[in-house]
Amino acid sequence: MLTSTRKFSLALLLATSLLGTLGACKKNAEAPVAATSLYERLGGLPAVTAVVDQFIANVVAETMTSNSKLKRTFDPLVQSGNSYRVASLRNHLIDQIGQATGGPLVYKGLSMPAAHKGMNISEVEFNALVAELGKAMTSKGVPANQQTEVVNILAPLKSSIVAQ
Amino acid sequence: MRLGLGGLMALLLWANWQEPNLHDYSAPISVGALRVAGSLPATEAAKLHTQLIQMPGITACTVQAGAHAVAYTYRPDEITPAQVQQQLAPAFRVQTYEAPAAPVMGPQCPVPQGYIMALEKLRFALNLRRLFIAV
Repeated sequence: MLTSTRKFSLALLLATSLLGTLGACKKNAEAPVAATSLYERLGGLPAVTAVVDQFIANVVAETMTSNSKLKRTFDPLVQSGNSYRVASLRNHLIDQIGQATGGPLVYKGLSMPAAHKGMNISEVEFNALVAELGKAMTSKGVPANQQTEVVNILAPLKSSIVAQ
Repeated sequence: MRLGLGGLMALLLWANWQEPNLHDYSAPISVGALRVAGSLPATEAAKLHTQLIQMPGITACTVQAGAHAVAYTYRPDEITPAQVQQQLAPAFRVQTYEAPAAPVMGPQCPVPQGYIMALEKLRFALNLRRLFIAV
């Protein structure tokens, strides 16, 4: 038989758990019905993940070419013992692109200036990166108009990334 | 008993404090790279790409024929680089490519990255908010 203390503790535990979840419920319930977001038109998380994975493969392959523009900044990804850095980059890209295209969750990583501070990324390197993202979207079947929308959303980040 | 309940409540509070991350809903990946020996004309590069992308566990791959380079992303739970190399070996002469590790500079996080990622997985598992989010 449960004592009153145990009953109270269990009730408090249940209440705390419900409070945490009901907050999310309320937020989602109050969300107004909006036009289909770019995130949904792209295909949601599976599509964003596929594009990001392809982008990373493209970038790594580019660093292995003789006249690579991305080798300086991305070579560490294929260095031994750095698998977690790759995972971290990939996770942040998924979160960031997901939020930027209207996905349901927010990016919680560093700001772009903070994340790229001291890297001295040049405009050539940035443009090469955007080109690889474009190739990744093309190879994963993203329509041209949606590719343009993605690029237009991410373009303003250039000033926060280049020459930091 | 009180300590146990208190600990459990603290754990739930920690896990549910923030919404989960979008990437938590997707399976983790790793990156592999290969060098191809011998010539690699466009037709062979296309065959290599097709064979690699069809392997279970491979999520993306790129072949740079001119550089004899292949890069791919894979799910470590489903396939390993050794298995990739083994499956490609009959048709292509490939070797795993890994850039030499750069010397460590500056302060390093004392906590192994594996621990941090395990904690992130635990937080996601206990985050009840994820049950109410459609991704």
